[in-house]
Amino acid sequence: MDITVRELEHAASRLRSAHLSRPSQADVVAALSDFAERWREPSYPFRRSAEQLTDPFPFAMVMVSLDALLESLTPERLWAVIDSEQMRGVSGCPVVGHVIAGNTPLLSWVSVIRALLVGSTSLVKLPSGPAAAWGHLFHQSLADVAPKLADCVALLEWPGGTMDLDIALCTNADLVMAHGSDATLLSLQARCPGQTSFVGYGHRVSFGLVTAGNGVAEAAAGFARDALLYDQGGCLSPQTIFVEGGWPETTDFAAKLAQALAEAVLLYPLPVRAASAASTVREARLLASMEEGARLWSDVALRWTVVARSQREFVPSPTFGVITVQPLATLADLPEAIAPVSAFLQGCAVAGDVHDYIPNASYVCRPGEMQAPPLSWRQDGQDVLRVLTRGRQHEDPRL
Amino acid sequence: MPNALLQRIADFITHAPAQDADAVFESLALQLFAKQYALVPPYRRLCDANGVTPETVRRWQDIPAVPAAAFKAFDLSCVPLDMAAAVFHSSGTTGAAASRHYFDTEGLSLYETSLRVGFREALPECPPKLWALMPDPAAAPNSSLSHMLGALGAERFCWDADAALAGALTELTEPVMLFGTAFAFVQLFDGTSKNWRLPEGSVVIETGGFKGRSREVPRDELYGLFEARLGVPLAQCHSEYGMSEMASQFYGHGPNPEKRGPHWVRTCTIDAETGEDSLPGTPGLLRHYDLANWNSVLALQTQDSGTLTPAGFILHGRAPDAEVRGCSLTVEELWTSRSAS
Repeated sequence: MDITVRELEHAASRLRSAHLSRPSQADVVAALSDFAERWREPSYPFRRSAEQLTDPFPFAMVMVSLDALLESLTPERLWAVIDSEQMRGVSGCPVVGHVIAGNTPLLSWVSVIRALLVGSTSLVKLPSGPAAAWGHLFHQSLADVAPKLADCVALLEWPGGTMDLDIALCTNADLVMAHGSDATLLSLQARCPGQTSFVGYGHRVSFGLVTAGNGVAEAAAGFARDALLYDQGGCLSPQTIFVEGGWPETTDFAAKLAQALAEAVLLYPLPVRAASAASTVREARLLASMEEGARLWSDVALRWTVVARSQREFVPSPTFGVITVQPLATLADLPEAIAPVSAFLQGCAVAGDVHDYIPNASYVCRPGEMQAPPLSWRQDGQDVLRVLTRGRQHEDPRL
Repeated sequence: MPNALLQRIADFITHAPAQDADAVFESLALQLFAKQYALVPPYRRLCDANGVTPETVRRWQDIPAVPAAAFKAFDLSCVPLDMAAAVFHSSGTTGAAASRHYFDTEGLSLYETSLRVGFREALPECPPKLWALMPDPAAAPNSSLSHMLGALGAERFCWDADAALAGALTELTEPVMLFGTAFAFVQLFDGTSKNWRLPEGSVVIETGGFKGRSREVPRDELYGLFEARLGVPLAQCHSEYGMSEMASQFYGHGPNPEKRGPHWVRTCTIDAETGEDSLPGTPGLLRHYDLANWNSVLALQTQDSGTLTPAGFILHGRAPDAEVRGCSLTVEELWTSRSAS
């Protein structure tokens, strides 16, 4: 339900009070660990509620990311994240305003968990639409596990771009962490007064890489999953896959990827495409058919499209399951191939072992793991926890 | 020596046959398709991929359409590019993302014929004095709109808050036809508090959107401003709908979203989900077949949604993005970001 400016100000005021009596860092770690343990139980009521969610994505999709996140929430791993940035006993800003992007169900979880780990409270603007349900499930479950932690979180909803509420959020938070397009981030940053810090996470692209001599079928299955999850709409969704070798290797892998997509799509059902997405996919297919030498594989339901292209440079995608497969003569050519998008690069999955060849990628993994980053993932190359202390870092005896 | 097919198309444009117009259109469309299939390699590949050749097509509706975006990605020209007499770019985009519509000499001549006949048929009662709120063709050689207004005989081009325009409008003593982009009109109105009362019989024709060049004004409000600020009654206000990828134009009356095309253009609507024709009376993506697209491709698939009417179509605008988007950067955003950086 949409809120008013007054309600937002009231929520911020309540969070400032909660911040004064917030749990210690050790208590937060213990509570989050307990939270994760319960979510791993198939019979946990909140998990069972999550399993019923189908919009914007079915549970089968979100589960891949959820399982990875829960794996990160053990005491050992949480302390490891804290210590990796020397954040033990360091307090973040009292009130963090979170602006969560549209179709990433677990983004609010990750963003709030990070704030909790440094003792910050969270004023969260949830996405408009069904993805908000995931945020509410998180909060309700947190209240079930650790009521005092839940008191450090306020979830709010309003249509993106509502000026008075955006301004109120920026004014009432000490730091705003926002996810969205460049235009959204610029608009929000402009609304932050001088005393409010701003951290923006923009839209990004990711890609895959198959090196010579690696298990092509296994890589294809992994990339099929990576691309289908979240309908290829995530910043970690592969838009193109480079195949080390020439045209025969490229088309061979493209055919295997198409086969893998045809099988994997059955595991991740989505409703019939809306008109705008359907026309985007159809257009992408028509354009591909006009390219000299390009080869195309696709399905009737418009869920996936594979285009083998001979271009050397990264080929971006309109998303909605449209993936390019392109040759890479040698691994040494990779920096040049991804140069056009290097400023927007997020992640890369590699079938092989060539991590040194991936400049600017904040997340490098195996095929099939792209949508399963751990909590320690340095999104956009930024610190996980330290960003929450911008301008306000100090020792806190309670932490 | 003029090309025989070109001549027949020009004759069809200038003299609509009283009988068998559909049959003549179909015959001309199929012949033009055969020419473009033979001479535009990217288009031929699209047709071949769909198993369609001039030998297999029997109806104009079965001629494969290129997406409008193909004009960005490919050079769709029947002649080598160095033989092009003009190239028009899409507005609102820059650099590599702009559409490029090439016209050879014959195609440019046919284009000018079609735009004049189309304009005359759609707006027969307009006054001869024409002022254009846009750059003149010399200043904007890649603007199809400027070229069009030049070909229509505009005697004055007013652009970038032409300071003299406000005064000139006051001094008018004979009716004028003001043809401009929506944002140019808004800039004119926002630049002064002056109200005008243009001579009786004056006409306003607006086209295009706002493209971030001015504040956005709802269409009904814009037409209210024509009446309130210019003194031109709603009955004398019209709209033009065109695109750089298409040689012909559509016209509508006032803020009414119904648009009508000339007799050498056919339009159908496509169900985006099925790729088939929309059911009668239901919205679909507009697909135009334009005989004046001589040098490129006559069949154009747009991303605009519309509903067919007996006389034309109701324009709904760009298909709404019903999908919830994530944090992935798409092709369009990437172009925008790279152009800005």
